[in-house]
Amino acid sequence: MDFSLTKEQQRLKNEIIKFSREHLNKMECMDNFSFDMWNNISQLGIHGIMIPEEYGGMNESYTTAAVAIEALGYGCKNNGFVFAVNNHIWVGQNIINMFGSNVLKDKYIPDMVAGKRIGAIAITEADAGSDAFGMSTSVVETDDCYIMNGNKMFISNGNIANIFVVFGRIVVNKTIQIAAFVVEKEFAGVTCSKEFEKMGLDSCPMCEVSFCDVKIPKENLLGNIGNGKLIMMTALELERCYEFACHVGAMQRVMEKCIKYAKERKQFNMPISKFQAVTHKIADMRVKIEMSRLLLYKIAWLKDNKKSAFLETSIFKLYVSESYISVCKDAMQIFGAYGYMKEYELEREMRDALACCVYSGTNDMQRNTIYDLSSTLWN
Amino acid sequence: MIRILVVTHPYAGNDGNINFELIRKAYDLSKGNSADVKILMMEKFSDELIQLYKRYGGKNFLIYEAEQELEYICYAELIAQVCRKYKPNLILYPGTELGKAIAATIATILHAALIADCIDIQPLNEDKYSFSRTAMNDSIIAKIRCVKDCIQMCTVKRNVFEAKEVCSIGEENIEFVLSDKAIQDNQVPEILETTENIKTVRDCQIENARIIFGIGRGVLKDDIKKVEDLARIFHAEIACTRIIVEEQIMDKSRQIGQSGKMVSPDIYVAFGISGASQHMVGLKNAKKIIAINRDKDAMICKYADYVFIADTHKFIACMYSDFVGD
Amino acid sequence: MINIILCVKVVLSSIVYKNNNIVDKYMLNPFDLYALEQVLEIKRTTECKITCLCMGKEEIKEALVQCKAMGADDIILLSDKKFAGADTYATVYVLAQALKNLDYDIVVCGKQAVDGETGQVPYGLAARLNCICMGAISEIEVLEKNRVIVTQQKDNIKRKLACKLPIVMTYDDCTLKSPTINLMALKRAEKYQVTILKAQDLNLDTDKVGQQGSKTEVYSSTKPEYRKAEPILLQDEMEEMISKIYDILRIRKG
Repeated sequence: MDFSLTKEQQRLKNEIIKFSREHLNKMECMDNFSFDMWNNISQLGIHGIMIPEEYGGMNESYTTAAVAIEALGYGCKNNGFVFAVNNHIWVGQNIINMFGSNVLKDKYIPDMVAGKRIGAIAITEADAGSDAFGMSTSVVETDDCYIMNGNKMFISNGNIANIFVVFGRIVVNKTIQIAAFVVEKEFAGVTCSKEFEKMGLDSCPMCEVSFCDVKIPKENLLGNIGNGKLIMMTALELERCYEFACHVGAMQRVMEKCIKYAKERKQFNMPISKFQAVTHKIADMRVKIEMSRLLLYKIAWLKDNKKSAFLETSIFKLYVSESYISVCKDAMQIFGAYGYMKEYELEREMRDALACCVYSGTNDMQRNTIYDLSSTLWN
Repeated sequence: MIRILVVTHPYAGNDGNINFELIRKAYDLSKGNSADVKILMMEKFSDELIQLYKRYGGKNFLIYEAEQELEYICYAELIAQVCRKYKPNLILYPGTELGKAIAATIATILHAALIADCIDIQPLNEDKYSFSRTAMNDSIIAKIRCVKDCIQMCTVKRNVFEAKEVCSIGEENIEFVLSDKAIQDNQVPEILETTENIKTVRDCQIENARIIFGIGRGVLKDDIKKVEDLARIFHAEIACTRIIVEEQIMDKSRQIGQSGKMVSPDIYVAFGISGASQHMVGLKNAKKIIAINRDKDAMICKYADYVFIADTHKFIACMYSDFVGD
Repeated sequence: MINIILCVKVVLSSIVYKNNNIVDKYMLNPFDLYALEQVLEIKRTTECKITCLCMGKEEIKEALVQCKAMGADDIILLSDKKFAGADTYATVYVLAQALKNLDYDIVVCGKQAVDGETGQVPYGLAARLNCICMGAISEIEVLEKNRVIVTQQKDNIKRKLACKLPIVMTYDDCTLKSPTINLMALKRAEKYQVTILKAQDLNLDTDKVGQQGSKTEVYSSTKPEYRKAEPILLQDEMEEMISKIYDILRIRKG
């Protein structure tokens, strides 16, 4: 088992870190989504990391993509922006690439790879969160199109997205199936609410998206009717892997900040790095980061070898979200009163981190999943 | 016998100090061993200028009468001829753009040793000299010598050496030189248009300033305007360190240091400057240095005459409210 | 097709980014990076071929991949143990010998190197190539096979000059911003083979290269000139400090 990075992966990682530090950490862009930064990162070309070359992508493996996305999370302090980028890539663009027909891919993928159109996923509803399959958005098939009615809630990228991957229930032969569709914001009947004010992840706009008698071309069906559950699971697997890969990078960044501070801050005539109460916290951070990273690369390996990583991504999501929050809390403790000040950026990190335990499936649901998939080990 | 050649910057006008400084240095170097010093002037003959140069120790003059300042390449061939005829051991060039271009070109033509931007020249042994300049990124001064049997050349910036006048020097010797090889036309560029940007003329005169306020990394961006206001009150010029220029906070013309300007103020007030040798070397001739820094272990404390340990931001705020008001 | 050869130097990142958490050990000299960006901009409107020429250790090859990813056509690295320890004279000699084997209309250099800073190489090259060096160029306005019109900005004087080619020229500025390199272009650039030339490929007089060919050497070092007397130190007494500084400045005030 070779854990080392290839020369190309190392170079990719370095390039992304340099780029992020140079272009994505502007203080004036922390509170809102910046189209300038979006254009910049589109020029970098990270969107197409796993997309085939014929669409302008790099056709890389899951492992190389993991290296790249972890590097993005490490180099870029703007967690909200990184969240928006990941939403676009993994659960918008890549889902269309995996399940769309060639016609659909030709229609949307090149623009999404180039960053000209932004993607988002719409699963959750006001009354269907953890109970995703209890959704009420309904789709009816007619001779020439599908007609969708419903409201999706807490849609990340909602206000800036042009292309939605939307899940709805459709009745086929008296049974209810879940199906996924590509819906453009320009389709008549699609409206976005005003941007929600959230605790954190300020650069990623979130809103409610309403679908009122929206006519969807037949070709915009992803996969087949009834594939909705599979597509949703795939999307969640990808999201849990890559959104949280970023957080591994973020934890590394926060830990390094703590190490630097501990060496510089003097109290009682010595740097606080002489106090074990401080260093032990940093050691614990390191443990969490390394363990997270190991699981990330196992997940990438599983996917590269065409295996399911649904259990592993659930464990990863649970572990990284709790670790990230814990790392931020310890960081604030190490920084003392300074950690509470906006200037030191730790309070923003904390606010961003807290979202981890509720998006991509709450941590309680992850525990359910992990137990369910583990319970078969003993009969 | 050692022969030293001083190349003066032609038509230097108000910036003529560099020529005085080089002439005086050559004079000092020649005193111990009765070396023969020739001053090369590449401009129209002017008795007034000769008399001025004599005050700093110039005695033997070679004059090439060029009507105006030419492209560097026109001087190179001339100086090469002068070298072939007079075989100098050491040549001093002014560290101006023109001087450096000429020096670099001649060093290649004559296979000579060239040390750029040196901050000191001392005799080493026989006909060899030791040239000092800061070593990149270290807090040490490197001493460089020529290791081959060839001409030793160096460029020296203004304010490295002092232009002190000498006692009477006697009658001057003047010799006119002609270039016997015209510069090929195709090598000299054709000037299509010249515009002088009046706004920046004399905008920054730190080289002549008697009081300078230096801005370093320890000064918050928002405080720079305050320091500028204070400078105006005390008739001081504003200068800065390399990092301030690199972060595009100030223009390069205000940078003091090995790769910037050398200055010789009576007073230098260093705000939030750590004291890296690359910067401090530009201040070797500053008479009094006051350092304001919050770190008493900062390098600048070794160079300063007064060290004020304080938070730079607070100090500037206090100074501002005392002298400028709120 | 106009041939532009860009002479570049690869330096240690730690010299440029002194305190920061650096990612790559080596980077392109910021002055050369600026020149490369300008030249690539020209390539957008004028048909030209850009070759990057560099002298250095073989391990710096990685940093040159960036030039290819940004859009340079060819990369040539002059690498040989014999070239080590070269001063400006020896460096100019090796670069000039390499250039004599190449087709060039313009040789472009960055203004100076951050780890050396003499700015002599472009002039030395021009002397060896028997052409003029135009320094402090801010813009190339017209570029044709036989001539170029440039804007030169020296201090407060701006001149528009027409020069017959070939020439050597330097830009005046540097850039500390990392360029945005498209990752796909980087991937393609990784497959490109940098041409590596050794001393024997260049028909060199080995007496003139590397340390052997250098005219100068650093033979000693000294501590900088610190003040001999201990400084007068004041700490935390703000009023006293302000009063002291006023006394000193007032005596010398205008």
